[in-house]
Amino acid sequence: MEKESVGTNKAFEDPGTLPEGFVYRDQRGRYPWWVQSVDRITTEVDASTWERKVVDKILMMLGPENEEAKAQLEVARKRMLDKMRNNEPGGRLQDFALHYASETYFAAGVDIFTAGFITNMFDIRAAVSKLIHPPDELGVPRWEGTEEEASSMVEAAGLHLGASQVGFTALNPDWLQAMVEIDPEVEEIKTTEDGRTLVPEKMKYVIVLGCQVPMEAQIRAPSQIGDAADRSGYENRQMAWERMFNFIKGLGYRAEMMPGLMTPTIPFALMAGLGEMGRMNRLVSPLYGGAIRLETIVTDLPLALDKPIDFGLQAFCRGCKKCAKACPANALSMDDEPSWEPKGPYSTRGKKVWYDDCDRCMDYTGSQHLYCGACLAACTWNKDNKTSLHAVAKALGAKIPALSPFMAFMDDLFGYGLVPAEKRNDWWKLALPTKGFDSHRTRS
Amino acid sequence: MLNLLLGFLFGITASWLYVQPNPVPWYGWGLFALGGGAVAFGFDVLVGSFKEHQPRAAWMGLGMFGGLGAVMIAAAFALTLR
Repeated sequence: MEKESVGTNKAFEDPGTLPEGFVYRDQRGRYPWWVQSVDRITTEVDASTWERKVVDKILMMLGPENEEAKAQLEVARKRMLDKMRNNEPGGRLQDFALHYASETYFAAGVDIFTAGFITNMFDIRAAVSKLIHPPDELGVPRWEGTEEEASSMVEAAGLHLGASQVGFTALNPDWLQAMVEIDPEVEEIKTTEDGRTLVPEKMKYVIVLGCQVPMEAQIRAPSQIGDAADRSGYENRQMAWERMFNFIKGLGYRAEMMPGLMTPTIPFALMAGLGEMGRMNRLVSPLYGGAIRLETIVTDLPLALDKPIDFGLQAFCRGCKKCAKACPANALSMDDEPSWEPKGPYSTRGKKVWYDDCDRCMDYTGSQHLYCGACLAACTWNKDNKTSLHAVAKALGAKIPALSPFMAFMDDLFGYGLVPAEKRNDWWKLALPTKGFDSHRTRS
Repeated sequence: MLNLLLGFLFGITASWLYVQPNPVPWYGWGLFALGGGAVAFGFDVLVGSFKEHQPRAAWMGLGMFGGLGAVMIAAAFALTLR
């Protein structure tokens, strides 16, 4: 079947392979030896059935007239207050306050007390952008260098600015939402009267940032403490993201948010080699497992791209299943093999993954007022690096993934994974590092 | 500091084995080296896991790897003391 061309876009022939016409970075030293660089993502994508996303469940639920969402908010509010009054572990007033304080600069989500979608993200963007001094304002030429030099510099800046992983890929039209088009005629990203978003062809480079989530709090999911971790991860991401915009603009180049509303970041992260697609239908990093949150920036700064990675996760996830067992909504697949068959209207067709049941997930999180993240917290790959046991286990898991059922058993035996509900409040007495995570895990 | 102490202990024990009148066979030295490595690994898991706030993993690691190492070292001793 001929590949669909959207607008003036020339969609990539095979969405999962490396696009031609770009320079690629030397991938040596990026990861430990058991992570291989590969020329296509390890998730199978069928170009003939690939479906560009139109709208997702979250946006549907956020509609102002959505009665189902209103009813859920009412239930969630009552449950939340009951937990506070009953001092339930991880649901007390201080846990709730911690959750909300963790998204002070992010604040994007449903507020159960005002029954509305809250975001101050755009206000903050407008405020911080006043601090930029691009070279044309200073009367000096913009930064110039090779693509490799640019990527190396942006990665170093990204780590300094708060990211834990930085990768680079191309703006593949396949990964964009249906109403977004790449247009060689436009100079700036703009929205047309019929609702289409047009992106200049020059802005074909994508910077992908991965920011850590504090693990000790995240493994207390599903609770307000777990949510505080999730929101911290997103806020870390938000801060690194805002700073990166300013850095790129300070070099004299354009940097913009990924066009489209809630465009998925995972395909770009897969292409940039930040991780592989896991059983929970989300990205798993070889360094941080599921304890990472992603963001993307499009830019016209010419960058050397990264390659996808393979650390045996597709085979590993077949036998592990810890995330699926941890899901309180039973929304994750327990099938041994991934499938081409989506679950529900909000799944994206054309990829072979373990599809999650988005309705179940959202109904659970919506009615509990939780961001949950139990699946991400339970992942066997999100270990800290204080003992060499994890380095050995990860190498074994990557190179002999058939061991995954045994490794999941050992993971349970050693007490890893979600913290039992009655021990969630212990978090308040732990001696934890600044921001709750070890930041010394970046490049190998 | 723990690694230093383990190194001292390992060195002293190896020296003591070396001067025994009944020489340790080559596979006894192999067992001793492997056992020493396993004990060191067990302590690495113990200390690291406590830093990670994972007490169960700490004791499981020490018991599993340290215990295995202790058995290997004991076997090396048995070979020279038989």
